[in-house]
Amino acid sequence: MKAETIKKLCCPFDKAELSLTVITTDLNGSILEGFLVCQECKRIYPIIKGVPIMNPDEYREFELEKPILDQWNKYLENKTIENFKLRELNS
Amino acid sequence: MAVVVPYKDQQEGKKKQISQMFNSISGKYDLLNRVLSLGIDKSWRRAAIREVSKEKPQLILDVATGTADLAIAAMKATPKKVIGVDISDQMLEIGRKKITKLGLDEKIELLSGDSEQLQFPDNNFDAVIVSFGVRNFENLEKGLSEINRVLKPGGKLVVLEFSKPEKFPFKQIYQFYFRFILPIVGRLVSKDGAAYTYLPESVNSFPYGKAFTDIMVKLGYQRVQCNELTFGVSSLYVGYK
Repeated sequence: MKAETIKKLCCPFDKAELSLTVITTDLNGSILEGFLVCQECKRIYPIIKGVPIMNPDEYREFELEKPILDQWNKYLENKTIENFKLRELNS
Repeated sequence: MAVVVPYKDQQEGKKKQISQMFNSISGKYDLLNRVLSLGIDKSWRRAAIREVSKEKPQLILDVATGTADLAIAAMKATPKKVIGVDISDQMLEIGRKKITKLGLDEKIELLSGDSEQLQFPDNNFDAVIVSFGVRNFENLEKGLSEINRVLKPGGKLVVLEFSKPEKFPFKQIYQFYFRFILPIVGRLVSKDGAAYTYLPESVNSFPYGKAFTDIMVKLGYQRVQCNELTFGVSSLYVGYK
């Protein structure tokens, strides 16, 4: 999906701004992989095959998303995911 | 009024059932639309797009886009971009294939999401279109309010939805077709009997004509209009933010 479209999105729950982390793009600069994180509720929305997964929680299947998020671990900066939300790891 | 759902023996809410239903029938959905509407659905979509085109919108949102038929038809309005949203990933997958085949990847982008909780900021779109989607909203007023939020001030909402013919003999012909023929053909082709029994039941219980425009007015839409299509089998509702 085009970066300009993704940058316009907000969190469907609280309409807060999202921060975008880009992992891979295609030759035209469209985002293929990455994730969006809500500044308010800390929900994480992965972008898989160019498509941001922004369904309500009850429609998301964590088991399907987990292997992909595990691969992106280094981008998550020592945070874990619980109920689709990013959490700081207790040190 | 009781909520009409496709799978009456299940406990899940309407939204979840609708998502499940469309995931189940997605493969046959386009074919069944053509057959069951006797091909008239294309002319209804054209009428909706003619209405949208009047405003020369640059950015259009197609809510409950499904397999993206209306988003593709909206290219006639020559917008810069159409964004489609739907809760059924499998319908979107078919939509994406159609868009790629038509070479429209640059123009149309499809996102998974909930019509009642849109992931777009306020005042974002010049026009919003919904064809045969509002009937499936779990909460109609919440969905229409959310659309109002993402419309720019002065932006236009165009809703295409089934209604019911009221004049003789269209009313009688329509009722016979809708009650007896459509569920049988739908079941045979899609193998999902519940989905095509849900269709006439949900149309029967859904507000149409003045009842629908009253809701739009209540939610703050202005210059609200209703135009009947094909003797009232469908209606086109228009309003502005």
